[in-house]
Amino acid sequence: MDRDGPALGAAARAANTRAHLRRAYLDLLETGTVRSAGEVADRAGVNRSSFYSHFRSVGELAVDALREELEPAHDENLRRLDAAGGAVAADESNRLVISRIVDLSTAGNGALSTLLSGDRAFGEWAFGRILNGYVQDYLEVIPAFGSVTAERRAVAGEYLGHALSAVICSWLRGDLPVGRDDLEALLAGLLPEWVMNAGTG
Amino acid sequence: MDARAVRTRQRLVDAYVRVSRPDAGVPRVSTIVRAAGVNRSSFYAHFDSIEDLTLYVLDLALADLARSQATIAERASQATRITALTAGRAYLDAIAANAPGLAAAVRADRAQARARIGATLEQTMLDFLSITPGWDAHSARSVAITAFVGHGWAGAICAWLAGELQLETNALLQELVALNPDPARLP
Repeated sequence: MDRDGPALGAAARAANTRAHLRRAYLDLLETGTVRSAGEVADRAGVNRSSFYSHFRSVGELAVDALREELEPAHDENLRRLDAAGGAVAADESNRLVISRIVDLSTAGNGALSTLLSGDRAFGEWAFGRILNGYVQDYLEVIPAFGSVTAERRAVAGEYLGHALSAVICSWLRGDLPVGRDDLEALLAGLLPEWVMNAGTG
Repeated sequence: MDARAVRTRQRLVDAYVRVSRPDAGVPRVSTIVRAAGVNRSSFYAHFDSIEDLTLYVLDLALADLARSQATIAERASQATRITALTAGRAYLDAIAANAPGLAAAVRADRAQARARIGATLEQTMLDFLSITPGWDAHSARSVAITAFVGHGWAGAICAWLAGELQLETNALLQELVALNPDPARLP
């Protein structure tokens, strides 16, 4: 066995425990609101202190679980944008991104809908926090946004992440009674001019 | 509520805001009662839990914000045109005036803080749209634009209050206004 063996083993065990906790959390969510770390730990078959060595709170676990469910779709988005390179105009990339973000809201066996039905404020915030990171990823990957400063990306991530989350969650709840195409057209119309058409501003 | 109960409640609120620290999460009841100089049973005579006090602190700050939002709306209805910059500046001034209480609530319960700040902004905008010619406050575009702007601003403001966005108030205002939608581009 090489000398990295035991360390890798520990890392793999940790990843495994995290995966068990995420699964336990999503399973519990199916049956109602999840309030305590102990509840999740019991279900995952680990003890409470083990829970806290991986997550500071149930909230942190919830965001992690939702992110894990959405990650494959987001990675695929980034790959497609990357493959398209500079050949795609910002406007076209944005429409693709909007469509994929709407896809995200229903990805992962409806993890978001389940979260929203338990605790609406928390679900909207968790989705907004995840979209914040994704928006910042897009602004980095799409060539037309090359000149956007890190500070501007950070504010845009917070604003657009939570703004998109609010509109999409309204739509999921049925408070925005339009079809999917109309939703995407609305979102494209809501994005600010500098995001939709350029990257400078 | 008698005057003494009002004072106790206020002391608990003040203590909550005073002991709140970045990265410290939700304060403990024992920390609050020690800082307020009241006993534990007095705490529970007023609040069911620390979460209950967090929401009370948040709602107090929001009630103050609502008063300044009403002033902004009043000015908007009188002026032929109020710019997003003027309205935004007045709003961020009101946020700054309530920053200690808001920041304490944001640190303790970010999701609720974002939801409630966003909902009040959303409502103010809906009220404004309902008196703006050419807008149907019940249309899909009204619902979408008010949710987008209200919660977009709320998300950024919560991050700013939590110290995650290191910008001066004026720089934040410029960035937020630049991210606002242009209603003329809506379908």
